[in-house]
Amino acid sequence: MKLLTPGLLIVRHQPADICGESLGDGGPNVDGQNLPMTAPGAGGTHKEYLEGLHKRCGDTLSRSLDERYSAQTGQSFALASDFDRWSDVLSGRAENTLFSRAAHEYLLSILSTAQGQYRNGFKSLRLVLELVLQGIYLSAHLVSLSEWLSNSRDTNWAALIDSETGALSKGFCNAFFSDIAEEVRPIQTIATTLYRELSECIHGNMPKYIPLPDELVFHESTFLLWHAKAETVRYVINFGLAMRYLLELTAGQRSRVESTVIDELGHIETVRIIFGGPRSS
Amino acid sequence: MSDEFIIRTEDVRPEAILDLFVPIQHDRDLINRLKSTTPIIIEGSRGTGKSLLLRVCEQEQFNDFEKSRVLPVYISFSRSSLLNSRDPRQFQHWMLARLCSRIIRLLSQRGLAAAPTRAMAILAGGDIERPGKATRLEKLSEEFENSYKVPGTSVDTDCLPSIDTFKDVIEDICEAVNIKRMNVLFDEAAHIFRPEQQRQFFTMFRDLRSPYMTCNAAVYPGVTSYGDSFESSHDAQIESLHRDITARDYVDQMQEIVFKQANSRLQEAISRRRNNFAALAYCVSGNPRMLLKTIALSVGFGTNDVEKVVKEFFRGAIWSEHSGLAERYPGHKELIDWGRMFIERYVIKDTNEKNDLWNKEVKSERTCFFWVQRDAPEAVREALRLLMYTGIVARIDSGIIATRRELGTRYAVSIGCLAADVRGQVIPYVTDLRRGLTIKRFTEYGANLPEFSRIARSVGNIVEADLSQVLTGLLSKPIDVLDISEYQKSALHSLGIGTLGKALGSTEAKFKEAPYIGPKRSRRIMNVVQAAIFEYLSG
Repeated sequence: MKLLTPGLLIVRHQPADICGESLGDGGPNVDGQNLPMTAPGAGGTHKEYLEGLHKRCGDTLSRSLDERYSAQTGQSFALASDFDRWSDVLSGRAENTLFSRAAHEYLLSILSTAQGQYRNGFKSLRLVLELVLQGIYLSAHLVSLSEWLSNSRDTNWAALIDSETGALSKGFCNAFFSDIAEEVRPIQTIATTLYRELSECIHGNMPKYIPLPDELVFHESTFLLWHAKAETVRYVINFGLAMRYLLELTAGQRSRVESTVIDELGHIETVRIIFGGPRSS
Repeated sequence: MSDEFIIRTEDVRPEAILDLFVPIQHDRDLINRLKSTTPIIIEGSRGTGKSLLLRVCEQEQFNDFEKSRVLPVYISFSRSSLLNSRDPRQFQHWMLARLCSRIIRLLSQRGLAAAPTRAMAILAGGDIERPGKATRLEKLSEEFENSYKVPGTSVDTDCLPSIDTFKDVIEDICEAVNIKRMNVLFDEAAHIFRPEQQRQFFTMFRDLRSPYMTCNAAVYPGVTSYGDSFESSHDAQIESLHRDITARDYVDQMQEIVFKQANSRLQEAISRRRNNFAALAYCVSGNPRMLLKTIALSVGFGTNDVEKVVKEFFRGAIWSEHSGLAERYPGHKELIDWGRMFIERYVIKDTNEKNDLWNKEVKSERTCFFWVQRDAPEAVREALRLLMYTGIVARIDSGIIATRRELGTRYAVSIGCLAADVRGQVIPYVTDLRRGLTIKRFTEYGANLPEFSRIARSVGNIVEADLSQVLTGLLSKPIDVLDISEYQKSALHSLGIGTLGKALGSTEAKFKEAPYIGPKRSRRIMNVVQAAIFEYLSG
């Protein structure tokens, strides 16, 4: 899997979701956000309406790509690049399929956000988190992995995050990278909090953590909030992948993920030392 | 980065309390003991979590009620600052009226109103006309609470039962509705600057005890007047609520407290900058409220942010809170000012010199502890108690033998105050300190220290504060003196509520007038503002 491979971008897009919401009883609606009636033009055709929305997405994209946000956008693209590296070194593993799907979903999440479809952006971000933790968890449960890949098993978030047996439990960490077992508890809490916050966009609760604009327009604070959440997702994902696989990688494979791991987890002494970094004191 | 933290237990719905509770072993033990039949008095500075523990005990006992048949009765006396009637036993009368009313309300809420009519009528101070209507004793409580408006007013207490009658009534009710006992949890039990209230409270605390009623209380460390009948060692166990900063998992515990309320962004920042968080956790010396407040100020949680917050908070804010006590209680001004001088010029200076020397000598041990000889003048102990109240000093243990086999009390000074005083960077200092922190090393201050004699001579016999004289002045203070968020302050200003007195007299309807504030939020703000006012008036 390579970054921005156009042919693979259709893995899990949700155009059906958008159509479904936009044609619901609540009147013209895209991305769960009401559009002013002026958008399609009174009495306009579906074609005109959709072209109107497309134009809005295009206008929002231009605003999102403004130079003043290039640092945030660049930072968020770093996770796409992290996925590339991890996928390279894990290419022979069955669970890599999940990581590839997560990578594609992440790109769609960036795109949705850049176009102003913020709800979709946050929803996809949750799916990214879910897929990666699922992949890590199933890597240690081969029967379940096989069932999941053959579509006879669903993802169960409660199992993934279980404090005794989940992918970020101390026991799981002890099995694959015991020296950082003390670090795993806060990461598990962060993943739980993040999931709860992002779920708000799925269930349409009254906004507490993620307020969304009512219109399909560029909205700076929501745009920046997505980038902040993406950064936290990146942190959790890199911790999970390093915890699960770092000690199993060859020297060559480690050097392929070194910059990613040091960027994200260099504050953990044990991780730093693996790459020849200094001790804390 | 952080959303607004909840820094007061009053701000949480009682049934949501268990979600915020972090079951640290010492706290868990205290809660279990609060549930037992042995009376416990929990003593702790502001913000250490006394109310939270009482509320957790209450909620757990509610959840367990069908099985245990022990009914928890939580009651806060935070409004005691407002009592200003002519009745010399006003506090006892008011407490009893509040307790009766609280029990009636609880029995009705728990569906236990089938209690004997006569007993219920005594708790109500007369016949209960219909459920929900204020009883005579509820009206009596209100009259006492409004007495600050007309100081010296008379309140007719004829409808109050005697303590013995009250105990009989409780026995009758327990027998009738199959309650094993009531477990009373008194919060904000004794006003630190009103010794007459302390005496009346502890006398009642002792007298209420029966097989059908156990009593527990949370008090500030400054409480000393137990009255004639209460024996502090026999009638209750006094437990100090402080977190052991030398415990191996101390930082994890404090992190869990913050994580309970933090959003994922802040959690991530703390996880990435764990050393900065650890420094802050040590600086607040185990005080959760102080930790949440300083974290809210550390905007990006970077090294410079934390350095700045520690210097500003522990050089300025914490001391202005302490010195603010002198403004409210001028009778104690000299002691309050002397306490600050003693800590700044002696304790902090001596402790930092010791740590610096041991660092240069490559010795591993570090300290934040000091010891005061048992025979030190009462004025010194009183000054230290006032410092404990604001959390600058914590009492660790007493009866500690120091050099020349002298006995004394061991204290810890706030690590934040030590760190704010160093010339260099705060975080490396705290990191070094916490690695070698040992309770075995402390600076000793003998009874003959010249500064001790000076303050003893200067203050003579400590005069008990008379709150009634200063209450009117305090209520005219601007709301900016309150420990509430800027948002809450601006909401009050937008309503034209400028003083404490005006805020106290405002109804929920008034708070609803603020822009963008709905019914739920208006109640929440009103509760927070009132809690902050009562805390301000408490000292």
